[in-house]
Amino acid sequence: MSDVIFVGFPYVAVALAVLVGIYRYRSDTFSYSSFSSQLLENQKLFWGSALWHYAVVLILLAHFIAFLLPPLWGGIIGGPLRFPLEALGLILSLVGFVALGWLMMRRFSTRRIYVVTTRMDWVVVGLLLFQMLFGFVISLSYRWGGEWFVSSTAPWLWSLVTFNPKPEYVTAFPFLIQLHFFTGFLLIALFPFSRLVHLVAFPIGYLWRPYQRVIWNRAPRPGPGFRTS
Amino acid sequence: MLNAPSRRRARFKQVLLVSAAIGLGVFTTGTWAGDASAGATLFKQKCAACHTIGQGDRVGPDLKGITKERDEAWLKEWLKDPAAMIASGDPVAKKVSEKYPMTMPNLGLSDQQIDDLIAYMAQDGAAGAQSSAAGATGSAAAPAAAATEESAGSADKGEQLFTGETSFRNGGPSCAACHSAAGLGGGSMGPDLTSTHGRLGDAIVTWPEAMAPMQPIFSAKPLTDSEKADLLAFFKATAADPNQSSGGPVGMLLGLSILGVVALGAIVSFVWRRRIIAVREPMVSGTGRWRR
Repeated sequence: MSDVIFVGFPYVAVALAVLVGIYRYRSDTFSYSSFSSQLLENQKLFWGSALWHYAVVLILLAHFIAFLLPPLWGGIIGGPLRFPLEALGLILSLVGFVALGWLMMRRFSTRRIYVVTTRMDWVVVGLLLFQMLFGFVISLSYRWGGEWFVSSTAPWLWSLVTFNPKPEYVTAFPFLIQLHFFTGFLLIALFPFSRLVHLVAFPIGYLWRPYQRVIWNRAPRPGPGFRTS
Repeated sequence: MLNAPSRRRARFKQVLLVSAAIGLGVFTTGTWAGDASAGATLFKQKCAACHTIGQGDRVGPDLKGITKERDEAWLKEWLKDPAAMIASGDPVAKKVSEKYPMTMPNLGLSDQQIDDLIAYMAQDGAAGAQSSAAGATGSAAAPAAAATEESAGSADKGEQLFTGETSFRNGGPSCAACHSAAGLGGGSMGPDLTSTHGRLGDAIVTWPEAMAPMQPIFSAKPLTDSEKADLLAFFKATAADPNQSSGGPVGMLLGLSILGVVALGAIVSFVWRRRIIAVREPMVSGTGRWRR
């Protein structure tokens, strides 16, 4: 059973995310979007969305650094920064939780938003809300998550990356932590089927695109000195 | 009296029956009886923290020859649920529980695992004795070497190893990542270790390499003998003064995070108070029509 949840399921989730993600991009390119409802309602959206994204981006960043560079993260979190960083994580997860709750309320209470909300949106936002809550409770009651992640969860994840799965690192973990792992991979699995695809639509090319661009909406008439290429 | 042919027929029947019985026996043994090598692995994971085979008593008794001392049915019942067996008033179980004050935990073993373990113990640990001894170097010989270890270990160094101030030589994580002791502000993933030495004795130092979920971590990055000695000295010192343990910073962290949310909310609602209207405002200033 633990092999299914801690080896099979992660592979299935990542495979789905990549393959269906690529398929969706090739077959339905312009669906790679968050389908923003900003035009329909902006006031409530701003507070919820801005706070939620600051919180979740920073929290995910911490998770990714701890996963990608365990020695670096272990060095940071093992020192005197442990308490402040853990406290900051708790604050951010609570901010994220409150902001997401706020956004859910907005979807419920604003009629024009409610009617453009799909079932998948509710599933994803509900999972994210629970995931945030699990993370908060875990880091509060199973301290210090920032540290034990480095020596148990990171080796488990890397054992999956290197196709040499070692689920024994996490099979004896408390249920809530295992649930957090499961929900995490469930969200990865749902990534290509939901608005979560906007994660990879981040306009990173914006940073080095030309600052001004002339785009013709019909072919310009060739004239002297004009070269069509 | 039977005549010769019928005697022969009877003998033939006997031979047939016996060989069938042996065949069946071999077959069932092969299929159902325990697998000693699987038992060896299990023993290392589940039992070696408290028991040895032929290296003396620790938290629990030395299990050398245990399969001869107790019958299989007793062992099976015991391994299934030690506490239930003591509660049922079994005289032997009662005696064991009196001699060894730490009640053996229910290890949640399956019937197959129990058979494997019994098969392993029936060989007196021959198959895996070397590896289990290697896995617990220094501590396996704990009773004999206790005196030297005690004098060698430094509680101060042990404390530094515990908190992570000094790193373990083989790169294992500090104890404080998951455990607290003596109010030193460690983690709460695992139990508080302040008074553990008082209950479990020197064997605790073998637990990192024997008990899940520490086992995969510390069997890849084992503690050295001198580190074990230092940690033991530290745990002995904390066990001597168990009142030092504290409830941990849950209340403080919870308070801090709620305070943080409120503070952050206040800051952003001030900083962003004109966020949405600020761009348009200069364009429409004076008209009053679009002012919010």
